[in-house]
Amino acid sequence: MFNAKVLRISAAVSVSSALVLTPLAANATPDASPNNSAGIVKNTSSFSQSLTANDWKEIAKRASAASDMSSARIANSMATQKSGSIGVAKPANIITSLAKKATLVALRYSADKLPKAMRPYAKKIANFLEDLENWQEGPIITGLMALGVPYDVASATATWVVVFAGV
Amino acid sequence: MSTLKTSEKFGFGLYLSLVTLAAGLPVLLGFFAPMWVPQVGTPKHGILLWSPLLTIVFVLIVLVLGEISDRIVLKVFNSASKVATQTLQTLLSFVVLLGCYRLVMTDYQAALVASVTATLGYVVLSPIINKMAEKAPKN
Repeated sequence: MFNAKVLRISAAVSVSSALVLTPLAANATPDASPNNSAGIVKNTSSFSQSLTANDWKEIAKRASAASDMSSARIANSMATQKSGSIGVAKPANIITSLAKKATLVALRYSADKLPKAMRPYAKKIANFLEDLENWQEGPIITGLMALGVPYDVASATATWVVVFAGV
Repeated sequence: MSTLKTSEKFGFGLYLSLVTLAAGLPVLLGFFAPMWVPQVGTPKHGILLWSPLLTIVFVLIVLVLGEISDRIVLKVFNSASKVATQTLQTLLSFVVLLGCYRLVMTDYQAALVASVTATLGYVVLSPIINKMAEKAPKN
C-alpha cells in the first residue's frame, strides 16, 4: 500500500521534472524511442512547445474554472512567455529592448536568404538570442549546443559575440 | 558534426556582423549627427571610416551592459515602481552609449548629440521594428 503510494508520487515528480526540463531533455535525447521514458519526455516536450499563447490562455481559463489556481498560474505564465517571445516591445529598457528586437528581426528576415547549410543555425541563434540571459562564451556554446547547433559552429558564434563584446 | 566549411563559417560570421550592423543603424546614424551641428564637436579624425565596425561593437556593448545593468537595477530597486525602474534602466543604457560615443568624439557635447540621435532613431523606428517583429517568420 505504502509502496504503491510512493511509486505514484515518484511518477508524478518524474513527470513534473520532465515538464520543467523539457527543452534540454528533448534535445539531449533525439533518438529516443517513444516506448521508453525518454521518448515520453520528448513527446511531452514537443507537445508543450507546439502549444500557442492562445492554447495556454485557454488552458489557464479552464483551470481557473475548475478552481485549480496553481495550474492556471503556470498556464498564464506560459502564455505570457509564448506571446512575449517576439511580440510588441515591452516598455522595459527602451534602448536595449529595441536594439535586441532589431537584431532578431534582421536575423529572422535574412535567414531564408542564407545558403541552405547555414539556415537552420541562423534560426536557432535567433531563437536562442530571444532567451539569452548572459552573453558569455561558455553559456552561449552550451545553450547553442543544447539547441542542436554543432560544437564548431556554436564555438565560432560564441567567439564572434565575445570578441566584439569583450566582457 | 557541422557540415559547414571554414569559408562558410567565415561567411556566417560576416552575416552575423551585417545583421548587427543592420540592427545598429540608429547607432551608425549617431556617428554622423555631430557633423550637422559642427559647433558641438566632431568625430575624431579618421573615425568615420571605422564607423560600421564601431557600430557593431557599440551595439554589442550596449546589449551586454544593458542586460547586466537591467539585472542590477531590478535587484537593487526591486520594490521601486515599474516606471521608475524602466526609466533608470533606459538611462543607464543611454549613459553606456554616451560613454561609447565619447571615446570617438572630440567633445562631450558631440557624444551627447550622437547618443540622443541614436536613441531617438530607435524610438522613431520602434513602430516599424515592432511591426516587422510581429510579422517575422518564426521558424
